[in-house]
Amino acid sequence: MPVAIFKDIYHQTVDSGMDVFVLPRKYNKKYAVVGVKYGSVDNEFIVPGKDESVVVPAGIAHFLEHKMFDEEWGNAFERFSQLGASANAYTSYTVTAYLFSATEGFWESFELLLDFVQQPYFTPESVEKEKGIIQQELMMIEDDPERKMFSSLLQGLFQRHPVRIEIGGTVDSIAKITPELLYDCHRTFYHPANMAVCVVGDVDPDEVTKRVRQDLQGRSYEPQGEIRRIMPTEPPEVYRPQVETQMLVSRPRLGIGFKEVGPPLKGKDLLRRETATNLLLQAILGRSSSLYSELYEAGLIDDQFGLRYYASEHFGFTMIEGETEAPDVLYQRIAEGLAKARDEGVTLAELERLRKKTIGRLINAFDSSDYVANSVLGCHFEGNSLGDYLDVLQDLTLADLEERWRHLDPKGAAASIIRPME
Amino acid sequence: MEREFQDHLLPNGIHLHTYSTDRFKTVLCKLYIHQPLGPKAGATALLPFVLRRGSRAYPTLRDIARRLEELYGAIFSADVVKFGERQLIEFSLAVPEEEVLGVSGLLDEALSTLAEVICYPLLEGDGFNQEYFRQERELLLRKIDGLINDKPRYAMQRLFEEMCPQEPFGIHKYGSKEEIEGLSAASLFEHYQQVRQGQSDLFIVGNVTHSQVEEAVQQAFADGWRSQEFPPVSQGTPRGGEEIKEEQDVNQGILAMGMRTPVTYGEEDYPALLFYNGILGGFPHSKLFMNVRERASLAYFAFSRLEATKGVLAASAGIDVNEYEKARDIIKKQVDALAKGDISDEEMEATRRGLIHRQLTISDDPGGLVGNHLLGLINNRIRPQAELIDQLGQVTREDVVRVAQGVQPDVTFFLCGPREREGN
Repeated sequence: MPVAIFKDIYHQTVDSGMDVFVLPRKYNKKYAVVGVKYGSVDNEFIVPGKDESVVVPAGIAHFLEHKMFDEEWGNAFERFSQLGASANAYTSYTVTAYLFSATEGFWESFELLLDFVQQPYFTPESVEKEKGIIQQELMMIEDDPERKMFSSLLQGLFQRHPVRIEIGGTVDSIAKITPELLYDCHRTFYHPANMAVCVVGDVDPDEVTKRVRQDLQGRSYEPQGEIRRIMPTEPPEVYRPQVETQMLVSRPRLGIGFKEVGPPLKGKDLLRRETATNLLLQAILGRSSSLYSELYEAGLIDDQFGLRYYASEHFGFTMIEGETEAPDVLYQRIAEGLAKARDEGVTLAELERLRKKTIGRLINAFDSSDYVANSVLGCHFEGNSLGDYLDVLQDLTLADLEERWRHLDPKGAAASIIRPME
Repeated sequence: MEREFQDHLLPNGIHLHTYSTDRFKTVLCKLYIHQPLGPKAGATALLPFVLRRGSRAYPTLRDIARRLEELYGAIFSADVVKFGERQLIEFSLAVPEEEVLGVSGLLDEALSTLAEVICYPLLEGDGFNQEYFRQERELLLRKIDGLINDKPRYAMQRLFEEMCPQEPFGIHKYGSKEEIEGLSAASLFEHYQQVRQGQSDLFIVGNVTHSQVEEAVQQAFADGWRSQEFPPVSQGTPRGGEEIKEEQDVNQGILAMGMRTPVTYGEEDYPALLFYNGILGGFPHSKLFMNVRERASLAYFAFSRLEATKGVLAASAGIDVNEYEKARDIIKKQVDALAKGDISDEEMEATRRGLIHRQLTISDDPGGLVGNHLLGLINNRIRPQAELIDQLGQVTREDVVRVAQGVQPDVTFFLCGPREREGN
């Protein structure tokens, strides 16, 4: 397969351990993202050099992401806007990222990006004020049936792992956040050795590295030991096999989840697990499967029906979800369909077709600078790369897919149902 | 800068627009069929969903899905979109570029697949396949019921309905349930035959040349497309800030304040209108974000959105259900400030940079390029990127104030919750 597009990504590790990735391309837009390997699941950790673990309120990584834009001189988000750049940030289970895109004055914005993520500035007043904004954000999720279904499902699936808690935390947990706690989290996780930067656009990779180096030279980082993240041991059993919520919606929504029960994996092994699971899901329930057609023709699903496997070192889960008139019937039919598909197995022709499809989709995604930059960082933090992804995809065998049936065991399943209010 | 779109009317009646660039690894093909937004909106909306269910050569959903997977996971979608008072059926197909894969003929196959689904539907008796029709009609009706599930978008649609009860713009892109319930497989097919004689534009963006795809498109698509004239958008009477509240059991209230703009996309002052929307609520430095969110902490989102084909603007914020008056007054104050010329140099320049940035990034996104060119075609005013960027560079505060003074308040809509009711 002559697809080498992801092999041309430049990578260098500079002083204090910061990883720099650059993909030059002739776009008007230059896109830069700084990622921190720190997300909503990192709620208990041992600060390097200390003996005891610290437990922080749920939602603090996301709260910190909001507050990082505050600087003594003003607001960085607004500053990007003044420079004509478009900035944003997000917090996932495992990563916090700050990004911008610019068509002019890229370097000024780039320096601002590097600077503001390393400059915490919190006051009791600004922290209190942010609670109001984040409360509205949490309320918005409460009113969104898709997200509500998702968070309820994770609460049903996991007993102890913090992935079961909403990324933004809860109104009660964020109430406990103080400037001191935010400073502690920043000091622990926002160290260059725990961060990486990726730039996609019409730039010289050496220039990017030079700028990062110059920025880091001005700051006196001590080498940091390992941050020990304490993850609870998650039992294989689900917490609740079925969670139901009533909402003001027009029709019910069903989410079926499967918890990953395999051992923690990193790097290419994790990527192989992820890719094999996704292809198996596609073969069983993808658009070209007989099960999908049956469910669609029976009026049980619509074109928004989705499947996905989420993979990380310490947790993983499959999510099958969509709106439906009859969630209980749909759950039953999918369970039966899975059992039948397991008996029948996946054919080599199906695997080849899905491999072809996945390669095509990857090429399509490559055109999006945002996708490339964020995936580069996401892969990096899990110990692999986009180039590895293509390798894994090309090497994948039917046996790899077969092995993944272990994950789709009905015993590790939970369902989340949203029902219209009566 | 690259060449803009090349436009050409083919013998089969399709208007072909190609944008030749080697920057993308994917080739994007998008076909639009134009219809006036009106009493047949529901039938028009149902068509793409019935068509993508099966064709002569690919009679089932599964046949089409397999075909697309064979084409390296070609991304296919079918829907309707609305620009001003025009409703358009939109088919989209994206395939990897042949060079990257080292294959040939992929684009031709993709185009013929697209044409097959659009031009050669699976028929039964004197109409569409009954099962497909029945199932897709049901799904569309549910989709309409489901609009209520996305509260911010729902509030926006309700606002437009209240603003434009007598204008086509008030009609949702999926039409009304009453109309759709009255359709049959035969009547929909009749509508299809009429639509098939309408205006159609096919856009192709990627590493292709115009002459190379011209023949493939002419070969693949059946004849019969015709160019059409459409009436200009209708004029309504703004309702002077009249307040309409709708109560639902929501955790968060959504405020949507509607306004009419004195300028539309095709007019000279359009760049100044972009500034107006940008300064009011298009950016993080904008008045709405700064005052509703950052200063008053009332909302997570606060923005304004411009529909320049119709000439309407909506300011929206998701707020605590008890903060309606406060949020409304802050938003009104920002609108008044613009009309009074209370615009700082910083606001002007940040908005200028932001607008130019947005224009420039359009050429990095195949879908953005298509959307932009389509907008020009619908408004009978092609605005080449370089020209618009140049104009954005010259807009002055006076230009913005002139536009601001012509902005008229229309309906203010509030989706409120039960807590608000208790408070009263």
